[in-house]
Order: sequence, then C-alpha cells, then structure tokens
Amino acid sequence: MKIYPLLTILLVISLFGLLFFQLFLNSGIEEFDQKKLAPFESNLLNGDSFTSEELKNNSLSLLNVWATWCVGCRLEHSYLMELEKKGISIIGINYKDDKEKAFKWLDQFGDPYSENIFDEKGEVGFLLGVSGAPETFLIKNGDSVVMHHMGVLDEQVWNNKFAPLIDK
Amino acid sequence: MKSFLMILILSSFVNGQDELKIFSFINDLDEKRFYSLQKEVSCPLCEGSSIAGSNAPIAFDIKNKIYEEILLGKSDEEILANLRNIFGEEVTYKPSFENNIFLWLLPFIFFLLILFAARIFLKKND
Repeated sequence: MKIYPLLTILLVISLFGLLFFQLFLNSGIEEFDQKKLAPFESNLLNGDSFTSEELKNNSLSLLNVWATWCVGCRLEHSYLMELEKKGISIIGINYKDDKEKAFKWLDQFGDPYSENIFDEKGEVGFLLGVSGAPETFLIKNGDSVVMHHMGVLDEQVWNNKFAPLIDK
Repeated sequence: MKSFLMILILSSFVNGQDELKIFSFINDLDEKRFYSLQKEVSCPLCEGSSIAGSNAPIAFDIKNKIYEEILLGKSDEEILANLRNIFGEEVTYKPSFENNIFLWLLPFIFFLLILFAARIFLKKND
C-alpha cells in the first residue's frame, strides 16, 4: 500500500533529475555531429574545374564561404590571412557573388585561399547546408566535416571551436 | 523625382531577381503541399520564422528546392528528410522520431504518472 506514493515520488524526481542533467549537458562546449561531406563539382574563380575529391590531398582543410557583399567576411579576412601563414590550407567558396568584384577584393585585401570555388548561384553552398556568409567548415581527410561554424571566424572562435578538434 | 523613382524601380528588379520567379503547379494538391511544407521548415538564418514567412535568400533557396523536389515526385517525408540531412535536425519543426524517441515518449510517461498519482489520490479518499 505505502509503496505507490514512494514510487511515484521517486519517478518524478528521477525524471526531473534527468531533464536537469540534460540542461547542463547541452551547455559548455558546443557539440557537433560529424557529417560526411556531400560530394560536389564546380568551377573555380579562375575558370578551372574542381571536384570535392581534390580535398583529399590534404588531411586537414578549411572551406570558407565568403562574398564581397558580406560584411562579416571583411572582418574575418585578416585572420584568414594569419591562418594561411600558419600553413593551414583554406579553400574559398565565393558565394552568390560577382567574379570581377571577387578578384578586386582578393587584389586589395590579399588572397589566403589555395583555391577559390566560384559558386555563383549558391548551389554548392546549398549542398553543404550553407545559409549565408561567412561560414567555415573544417574538413578532415577530405570527406568528413568535423565543424561547421556560422559567422565570423576570429582568434577566439578558432581557439575554442577549431583548435581542439585539430589536435584530436 | 522621376529619376529617383526610376532608380527605385530598377533597383527593385536587381534585388528582387530571385523573388520574381513564380512557382506554378499543374495540380492543386502539389501546390497545397508546397505551401504546407514551407510552414514546417524553419529558416536557418532567421530564428523564430518559418521559410514561408521569410524573405532571406536562403529561405528562397529552400523553397526552390522544395518546389523542384515536388515536381520530381518526391514525398513530403523524403523532402523533409533531405533538408534535415543538409541543414541539420533543427530545420524542421517536427523532430524526427528515430533520433528523439525520449522526446516523443515524454507525454506518455507524464500521462502514466498522472494515472498513477490519480490512483493513489482516489484510494486515499475511499
């Protein structure tokens, strides 16, 4: 007879405990589910063709979505230059942009990209789940996306979100 | 004034290029599906709005994708699963069952708990 109320209380407490626990599980370091990179083919800004297979030449590469109309891209540009100097291979995706403006931008501010995909209509971006610019993907072994960062990439973001994954 | 108006009209053409595309369907059912699917997909860029109520470029791209896939004869669930695959689980308002079993079962757990509590309460009053 007396066991039912006890059982109910125990159940309620354990349920709230579980929910409470999950609350803390989600805060802290941002978890990211690894994903396979969707294979794609596109043209580069210089007119050559490019397939995602070529990413396999590097064990680690960044895919950086940028455009000349994007204010955030201007903000992160100097940090991308720094990363390139550190020897990180960055492949640009020039997203929904104008070719001439893009070349002008690279002349003016410097070119941190080893290749630049010309994604005029945003088709490659759509395949990758890009919703705007700037966005940056960290690709390992050419086919697994270990990080997809939306927004400006600066030193703090790099140290918190990207660097721990690289050392792994 | 006239030139100002001209510029305004011309610039609306430049910016509105995407929006000028009209989604036309031959059959009514597909058209209804097109609009109801839009309400189930959240806009990844603008929090708190579905793509139906958003003018963000990405919202347009997703609408366009839904349109194309409807024309290809894909089912609603296939279309939504594809979008979840690309943009992540949060892109659809209704969470998928396979990945969120606990979430879907929660109401039933609460229901059982209430039954349990009611039973005790009624017994006490007897």
